[in-house]
Amino acid sequence: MEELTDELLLQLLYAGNEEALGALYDRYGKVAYSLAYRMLGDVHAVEDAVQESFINIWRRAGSFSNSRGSARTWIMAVVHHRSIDIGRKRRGITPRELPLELERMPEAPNDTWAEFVNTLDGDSIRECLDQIPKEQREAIQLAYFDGYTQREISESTGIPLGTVKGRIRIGMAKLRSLLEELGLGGSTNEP
Amino acid sequence: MSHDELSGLAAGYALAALDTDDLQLFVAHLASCPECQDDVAGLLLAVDGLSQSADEVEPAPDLRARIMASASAAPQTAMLGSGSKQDSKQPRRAPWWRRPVLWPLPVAAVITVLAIALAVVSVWGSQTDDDLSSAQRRLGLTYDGIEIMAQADQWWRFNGSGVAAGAAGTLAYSPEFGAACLLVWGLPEDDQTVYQARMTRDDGEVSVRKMWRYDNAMWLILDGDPNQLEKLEVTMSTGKSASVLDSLPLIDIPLTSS
Repeated sequence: MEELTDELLLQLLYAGNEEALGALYDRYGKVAYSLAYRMLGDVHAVEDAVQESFINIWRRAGSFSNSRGSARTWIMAVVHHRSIDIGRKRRGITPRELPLELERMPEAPNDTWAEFVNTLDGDSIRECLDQIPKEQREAIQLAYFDGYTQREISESTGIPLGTVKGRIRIGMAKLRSLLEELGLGGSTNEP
Repeated sequence: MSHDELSGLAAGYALAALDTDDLQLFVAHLASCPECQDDVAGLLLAVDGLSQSADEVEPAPDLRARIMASASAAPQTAMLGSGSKQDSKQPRRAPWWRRPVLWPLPVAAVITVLAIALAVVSVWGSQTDDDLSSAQRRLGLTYDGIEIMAQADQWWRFNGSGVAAGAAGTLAYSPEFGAACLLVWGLPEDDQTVYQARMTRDDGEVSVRKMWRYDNAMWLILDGDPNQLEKLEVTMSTGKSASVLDSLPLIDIPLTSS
């Protein structure tokens, strides 16, 4: 099982094979748990988020299409969205409609780059994040890790909504560019 | 809202940070804007990177077991994606496993095919990457079989005692795939016989195809509609030189839909 691609595992999952779920957990459980922990910071909430996410993946494996992004992207989006839901509930914030309905994920433009991003370690990515101006990085982190909408960030920080949107837009473009440079440079893949 | 304004929402969309009104606007726009689709796809990879920037934390060792136990108790949901070819004017068919009369047979078939797939994987798992790649290509055939059975509109069941006592089989046809999956199980594991499917068309033309074999099962994907066949039989393989008509039919699949 461990040699099978993510996509094959998801096909087996769709056919009702529980071992495939175990194999996907072995592959992504730790990174999923780490993301949920970064977002929620409480072991019980994190375990709920990860458990519910993998059950959701089990139940909805048939909705995955590898023509619309990698399996990893899909799995991590499920974990991210569930963690946002749980985090908002714990903070007493109204639940909201999340984007990226699984069927709406657009096609991945570049498989090579997707594979490269998946091989990056946390340190390399944190170095990229550190190169983004602090204001932009904070806006991205409030949005991604704390699950706030752009308007909520604006209201909680007192920064105009247009500025928040701009910081997120420019910061994400910068992060994407830095990751692309890493990939094109091949510095982490070369012996 | 102009394209520039809408495209400025792509990063918030990728981060799941759009407010409801912006989200509705952007999703509607995204459906018809290839430029924004490309942009979002690239941004999602940056989001992938973000997800990996969290410090690594080890989950509790028993979390896996809890997830597996929950999965065992949770029914799966049949999803029809937006790209489904199903005609929206036709009533949606119940998933095949919910069709009461046919339920046990398809499940047995899927389980058998999966067992075959897993067994093949276990055999190839210890070999080289090339062999693994080859195995996965062959497994693609098996997955096609699963898909065909999952979407089949017509099922035929038959007794397989002509090849082995207690053997049985099924033929599942999916018009959406334009193909059928022929599956026979219950064969003796030590039986080295090579079997083939012999197809006789309405116009009398005969063709044969060797069946895939593993452990106690054999299967084959048949292109086209079995309803167009005059006869479908399982015989022992005749090899390349022998006449395809000479071999005795071991299983004569009744092409009257059940």
